[in-house]
Amino acid sequence: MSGPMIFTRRRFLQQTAALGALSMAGSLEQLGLASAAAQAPGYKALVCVFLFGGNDSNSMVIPVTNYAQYDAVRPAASNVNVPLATLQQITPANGGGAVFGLNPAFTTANGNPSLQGLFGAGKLAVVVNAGSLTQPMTKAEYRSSTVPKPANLFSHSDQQQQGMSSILLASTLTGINGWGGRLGDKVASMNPATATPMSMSFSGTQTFGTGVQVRTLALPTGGNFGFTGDNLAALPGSVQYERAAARAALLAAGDSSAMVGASQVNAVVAQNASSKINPVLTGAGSAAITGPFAGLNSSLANQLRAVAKVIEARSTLQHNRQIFFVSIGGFDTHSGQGTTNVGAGLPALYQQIGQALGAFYRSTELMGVASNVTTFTLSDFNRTFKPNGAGTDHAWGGHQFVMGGGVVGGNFYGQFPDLTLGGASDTDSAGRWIPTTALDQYGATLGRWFGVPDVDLPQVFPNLSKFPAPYLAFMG
Amino acid sequence: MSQPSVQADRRTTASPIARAFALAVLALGCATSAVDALAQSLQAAVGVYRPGISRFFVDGNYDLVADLSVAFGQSGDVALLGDIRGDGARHPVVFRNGQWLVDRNRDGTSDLTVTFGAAGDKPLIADFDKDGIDDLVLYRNGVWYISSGGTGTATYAYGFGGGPTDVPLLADIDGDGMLDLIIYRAGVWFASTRRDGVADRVFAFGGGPNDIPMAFDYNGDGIADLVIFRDGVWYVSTARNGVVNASFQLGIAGDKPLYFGKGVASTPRLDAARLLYQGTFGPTEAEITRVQTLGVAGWVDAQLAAPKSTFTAMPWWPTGRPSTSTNPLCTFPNYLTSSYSPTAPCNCSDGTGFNRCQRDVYTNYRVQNEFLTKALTAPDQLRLRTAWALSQIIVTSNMQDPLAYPMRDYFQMLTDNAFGNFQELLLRVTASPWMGNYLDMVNNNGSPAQLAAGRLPNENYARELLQLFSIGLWELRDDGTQLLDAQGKPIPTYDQDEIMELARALTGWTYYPLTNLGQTVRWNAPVNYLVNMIPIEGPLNGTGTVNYHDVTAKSLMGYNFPAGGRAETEINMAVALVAQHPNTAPFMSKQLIQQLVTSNPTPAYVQRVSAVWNNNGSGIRGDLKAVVKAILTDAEARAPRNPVRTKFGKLKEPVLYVTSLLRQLGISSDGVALRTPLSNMAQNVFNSPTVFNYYNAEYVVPGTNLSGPAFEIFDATLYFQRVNWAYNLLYSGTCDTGAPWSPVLCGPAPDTTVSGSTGTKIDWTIAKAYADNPTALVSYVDNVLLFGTMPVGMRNSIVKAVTAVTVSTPSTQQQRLDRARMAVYLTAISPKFQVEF
Repeated sequence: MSGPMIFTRRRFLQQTAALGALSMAGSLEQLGLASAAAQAPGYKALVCVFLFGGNDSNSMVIPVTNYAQYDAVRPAASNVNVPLATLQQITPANGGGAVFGLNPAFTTANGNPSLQGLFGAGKLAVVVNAGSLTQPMTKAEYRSSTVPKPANLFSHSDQQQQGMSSILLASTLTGINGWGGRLGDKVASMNPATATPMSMSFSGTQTFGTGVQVRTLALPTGGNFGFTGDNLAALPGSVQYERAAARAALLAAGDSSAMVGASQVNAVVAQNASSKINPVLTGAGSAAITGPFAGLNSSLANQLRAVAKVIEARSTLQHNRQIFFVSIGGFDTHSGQGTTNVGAGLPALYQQIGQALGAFYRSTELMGVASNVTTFTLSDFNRTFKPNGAGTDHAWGGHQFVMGGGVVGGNFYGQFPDLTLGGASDTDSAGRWIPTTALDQYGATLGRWFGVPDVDLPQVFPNLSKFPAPYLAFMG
Repeated sequence: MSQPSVQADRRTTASPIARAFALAVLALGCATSAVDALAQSLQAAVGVYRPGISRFFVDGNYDLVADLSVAFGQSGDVALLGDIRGDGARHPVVFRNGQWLVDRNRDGTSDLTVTFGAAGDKPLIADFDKDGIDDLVLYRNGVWYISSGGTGTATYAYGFGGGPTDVPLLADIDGDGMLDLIIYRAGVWFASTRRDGVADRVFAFGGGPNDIPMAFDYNGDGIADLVIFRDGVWYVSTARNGVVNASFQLGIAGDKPLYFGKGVASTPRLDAARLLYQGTFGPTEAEITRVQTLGVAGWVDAQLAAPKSTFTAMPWWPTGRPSTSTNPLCTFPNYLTSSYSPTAPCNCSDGTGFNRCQRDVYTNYRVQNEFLTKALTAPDQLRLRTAWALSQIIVTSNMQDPLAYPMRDYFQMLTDNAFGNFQELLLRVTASPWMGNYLDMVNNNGSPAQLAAGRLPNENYARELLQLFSIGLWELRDDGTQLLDAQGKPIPTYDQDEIMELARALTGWTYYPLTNLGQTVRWNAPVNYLVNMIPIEGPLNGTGTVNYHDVTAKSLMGYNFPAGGRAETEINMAVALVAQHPNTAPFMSKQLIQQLVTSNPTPAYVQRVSAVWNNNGSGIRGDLKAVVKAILTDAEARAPRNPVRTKFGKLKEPVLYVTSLLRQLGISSDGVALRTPLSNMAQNVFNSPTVFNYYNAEYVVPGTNLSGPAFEIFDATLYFQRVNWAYNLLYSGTCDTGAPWSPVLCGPAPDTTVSGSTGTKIDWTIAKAYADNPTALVSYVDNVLLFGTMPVGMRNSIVKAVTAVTVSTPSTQQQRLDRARMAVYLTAISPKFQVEF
């Protein structure tokens, strides 16, 4: 261990293998595969960046013009204040001139673009006050429970699953799958049948990328995605060849135990994908990747570097469509939110995000696919605008970033909440914003860009029809 | 009633070449795909054939719901189920005028036809010669013709029966492992167990005009039971005395019943191993012997009474590691054993460059290793296993604060209380400073000033206490299933307001002062994980002027806490309320069953254990000793291996995968070489990523309705971690070969920086005895790792691979080592070994 790692009363949620990919039990109607694209599908990738623990996005995007309203609830003495002078100012073109600021911890490295710079260049958008919603909901409807609320609104595990699945009223995890996976089901025919799996996670098993047919392939960011001791050039009759052959036979054999059968599934997928994917992951990638990511070794940077390598190898893997899942944890800042101490708490996490996203965008630019790749954030929930003395607690609607060459950036999409405690946006008096943009609208906009036909999107997002405007404008 | 006439015994045997060919066909493998649920359902089936529509309905898992429905055959056909090619699945078969038509892929069309017999013959399918392949049997006027391997040529013939209405049956009625010839004649069953034409057993059951008799092992005890199908109802007599002790409805009048004739007997060794998978960190030969000597209840009682393990106590250390220049505290190397003293300076550096203080005090390195060595060798296996299970439900983690001593204390506390009372355990957990730090219960401020400022108490511990450590999110019946309201929706057990009330009730606690450091009782006390937290109630308990415990009235789960409540009263009452909540028994019982025995317990099993949780027989609720005993002695956990129980069992979590492999192979280890691989397998011991454990207890295997919590950390990447760890364990590390054929010990060398390190050592000597004979070697490995359950196809594949390791004559030590490694590696990485069933 290289240096003291002193943890004070903070609560980190390191979700390396959080809540996982789950099955489909028929509660959604049978999803057919997308009709084959009339023209060549082109190449597109979606990259989901999940912030586990509930990101206090109130600290991510802060009003400058209306700083007084922010400061009234989160003054310097509250231990969660971000000083006005430090904010990286942005002015959304569609905001009527109101100025906002990004958290100062969003720095960058290696000359990569900053999030502030990307916003100004029109490559980053902010979707404000978004969250899980079964239908539009007013405060009165929330208080009187006349409109169904998503189940267990302030529970990490439920909200993580709901953010990934958009299945909002379930009481068990049986039959839950991810909206990313369901989008993948609709475009599955755009990849040839011999391609390796379209949906990939660098954060272990995840619900997000698992659909009905599409299953997430969990990949390592480095290291061996293959069998130690194997020699792919071994000849029949040799020890290594016969060992590999026996192993393959074992993995294919049927068994009366359902548990044994289940244990074979991922093994078979792993075995089959290994020979194509292992060289991609163990290689360094081209200068388009090593340059922007030089010296960046955070968890998120490592994951996005691996994503970039897989994007670069898309022809080898025969991918016209790719769905990626990456994540970092640690956002459950009930205490020690520590906004003044860069290198710890929320600022450390934002620094990781700023550096990794900037490197990733630059990498896609150098690879010539900046407009083909859209990266977007998700989180369990936002946090209470009213702090608890040392940090913040669980809340609901929050802000998300969408980044890519195809994004209509430099704008805010949705309705920024009224930051008054107990006001029209607040479920109660702690500053838990009722979302005004639904997860379904957010996801449908991305799905539409990804190539899923409009007619199929309500199947992927079951609540979509309840919202007057199914799509936002951030993808054009 | 006259006995069936005796006919001459005309027996012929097939030529060796024909038999070898039948086996060779099998070896090339008609393997079903890995996840073929329909094939699995046909390995243990009851069902019906409806002649009017020529349709097979088959139920594979005795839930009386058809898993397979396929139209096959035509009017006049006789319907059967059989595994004609030994691939482990049962297929619909029809017999028509001497032709057997087999529908292997169950699509309604025949893909295999065998000619054997003639119109009017009565067909049967059974594995007569116990070679794993079903044989075709014809009964014609009292003569039984058997075609081994389903080739169409009679290989045996026997005489028994011959009456005009006789119904022939083949089943093991005396439990000797051999199928017996049975004749049913108007309600009387005549069995010739020696196949000599003489009826040596007679039973009476049935006799109704349209009754259809069957004989198969219904209850999995290895002896065929008598079954009568009458108008859609199956009547079972497991005691074979004519008394019906089970019946179920499957089919309607006019249907022809279908049944699975091959029971799979278990062995005492396998039964013992199953108990040890459930109650220890893996079976060993010594422990198997002990189970067979003491019996199940005797072994469990001995384990419940065994003296408990004690983990090496560690002294208090400050949360911030002292550096050389600022805070000298004690002298090296005494930090391992000395208790804290302010007069003995220390700088946490040993001067040799390697900072063991950092590793040994400020990470849980030593606690991990000690846990692993105890898991591998300690005698109180069941207690440690239970404590490990509890640690995955009531989770704390060194991810938040890496200090070693408090994790040692917390796990010792779970070990001490594993067979105690749950409410008391929950109280200790709630008062624990280590848990208090982990979930923000410590220094949770409920003072008047806090309330006046409108600041809410931290709700973290309150939420997880309810959601994870006691009652869960949804109201449950005692059998673990969710209760539904009048609209058919599940009912939440609590809401946000209730969490707030509980959080307020638990305010006011802080660390106990370190008096030998001159500390005094105060709010926001310095971190001290040694002793339970104390409440700061100001004037109420002489701890100053401010009462940090919220004294407003509260309402929690229908109980009113009056204003002015004391912290200790409220913590006791809150813990009592959640511990005694009706949800706690099923919520916790089911998780303990899933941790120890099976991921998919039947609701009935959960209910039986919940009943013991609610009342241990002496009116006590939450008696963990009684609950653990109930879990292990329950019939569902103990039932002999039976392919009908397709959903039984669980995937080994990484710790159990590692410990079971080492214990079964007799590999010793001090844990050092194991802790990093376990972390790579996503089970970094005592470093759970979140309070939701290494994997979610609710996880469902994708594409199924199966619960499989450990599968959440068994994706493609983690699969390679397991397999490659096994490879490195078995193939690398230095070997002390010593004199020829002295113990061949291989494995990672001891770590000289760890005191008492012994490394990890595999003794390959035993395997050497078999390495010249690949078949015998694989059988030995099967016996040690899979207890004889290795399927035929897997065995053949491994034998082939072992044979590919060429040996000279005589074979060298290295060659025999390599053969042994091949057999063990392939078995250890097999899906079969990943699972406990």
